[in-house]
Amino acid sequence: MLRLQHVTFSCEDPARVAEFWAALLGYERAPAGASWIATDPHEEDVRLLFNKMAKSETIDVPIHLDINVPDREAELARVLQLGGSLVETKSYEIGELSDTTTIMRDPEGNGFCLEGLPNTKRAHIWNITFACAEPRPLGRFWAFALDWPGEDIDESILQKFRDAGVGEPELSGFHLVKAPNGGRPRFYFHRREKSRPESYPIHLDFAADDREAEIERLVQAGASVVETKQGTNLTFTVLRDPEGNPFCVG
Amino acid sequence: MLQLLNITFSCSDPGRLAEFWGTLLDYERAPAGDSWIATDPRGEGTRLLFNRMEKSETIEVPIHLDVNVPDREAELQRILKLGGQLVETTSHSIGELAETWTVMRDPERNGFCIQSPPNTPPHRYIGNVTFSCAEPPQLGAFWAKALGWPEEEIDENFSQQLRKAGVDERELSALYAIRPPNEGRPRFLFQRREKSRPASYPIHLDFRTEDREAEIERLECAGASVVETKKGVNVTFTVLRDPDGNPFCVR
Repeated sequence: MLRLQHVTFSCEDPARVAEFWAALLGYERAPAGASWIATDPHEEDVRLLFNKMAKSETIDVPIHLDINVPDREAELARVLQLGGSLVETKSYEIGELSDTTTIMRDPEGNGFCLEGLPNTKRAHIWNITFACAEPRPLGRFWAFALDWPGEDIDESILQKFRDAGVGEPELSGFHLVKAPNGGRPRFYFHRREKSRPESYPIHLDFAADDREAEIERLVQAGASVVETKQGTNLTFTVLRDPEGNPFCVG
Repeated sequence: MLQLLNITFSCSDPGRLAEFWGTLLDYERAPAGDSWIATDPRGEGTRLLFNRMEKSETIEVPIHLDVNVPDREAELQRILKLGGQLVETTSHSIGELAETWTVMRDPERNGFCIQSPPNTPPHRYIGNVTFSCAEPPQLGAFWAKALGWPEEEIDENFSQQLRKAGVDERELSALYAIRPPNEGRPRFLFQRREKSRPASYPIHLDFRTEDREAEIERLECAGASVVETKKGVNVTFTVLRDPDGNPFCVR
């Protein structure tokens, strides 16, 4: 099974993007060759890797991060000072359910969201969010890949949606996959049209105990292999999930 | 120059969809062969045409309608009774600017929005035909030329407020609008958003023109491409695509 190693950003200026994200999340950062790495000093949250790599322009990024913060309004102002920019603050309301998110961009234009959930003590990566055509099947693939329990959306929430007049396809428009110990980040899937760039600005890197056996297992589950690369210390395989999102297994 | 003739829906059940939209907009509807037509009895709003035609599934419809209503909350309840469905009510704010609309689906799942902007007249009408596109000012300029409509000026004060709120430079070109002279309706609104690229569009626009062949040449020079020309019993029309690939018809 896969273990998430890093969320990897393709950057023009890895140091600058690393500086931004480290300050945003309270991470420590260090150079690693031409790349930068940012790690959580509390050792709770996922590591970020910043590579100097080509990326394509996107309108709606296929994968983005949702950041949980203690105070969304205060954080918005702080992120602007760190060199981020604002897209908009959006509130959603469906019947009695509601939610507010601020959409921002990092200094290289990568979109991300800020959410102020109750009881949040410090900023952290809460969701890795996939824009996709079929949230449930894609979510099941990733639950299988990570060996995380498949979980259906709470029936009482679906009932609230139905009561408010929501129909298909919205009821199957989102899916959530969580680690069994409640660890972060969660994988969130929502139905949304996404850009299909040649080079993704953000991708996920995983480790596996037995890379070759793991790849066989993932291919059977619907992944496809792009290529295997031999580095100096590391051999890794680039794959695509059933909706074409690239990821690496080393 | 093009004149907007119909907003055309590809449907599996034209009668049902015409009933929904006719009731929603207070239009009168009538069958026309296998199709249905809905028209504004006030003679102001664009005619809607419902054809029995193949359409592809979409996640984000490339073209949708924004309907202006006097009371959005009341309208949401009325539309649910007519057979529409709710997607969500969205409010967005940038600095001190704020706006709220409700996203819904018609009985054949076409997404549309209802909104109550300030100074909405006391009746329901199609406020915008909205295009999702990569480069709003570029696509907007094509349609401004095709229709001979002026671009809607963006208040410098408004842009200034956006900048003051820390808005990304790119967001300043994320919206573009053109509108018929003399406060006519609907506006054409262009928003930067990834859209589905279906083989068969669920909604397209039909235009008429004085001299079809000359007009097509003019549109091709502006960046449109011709798909085909079809000869019907009473009418010959040409199917084109705008620079972003959105199909439209000219007769």
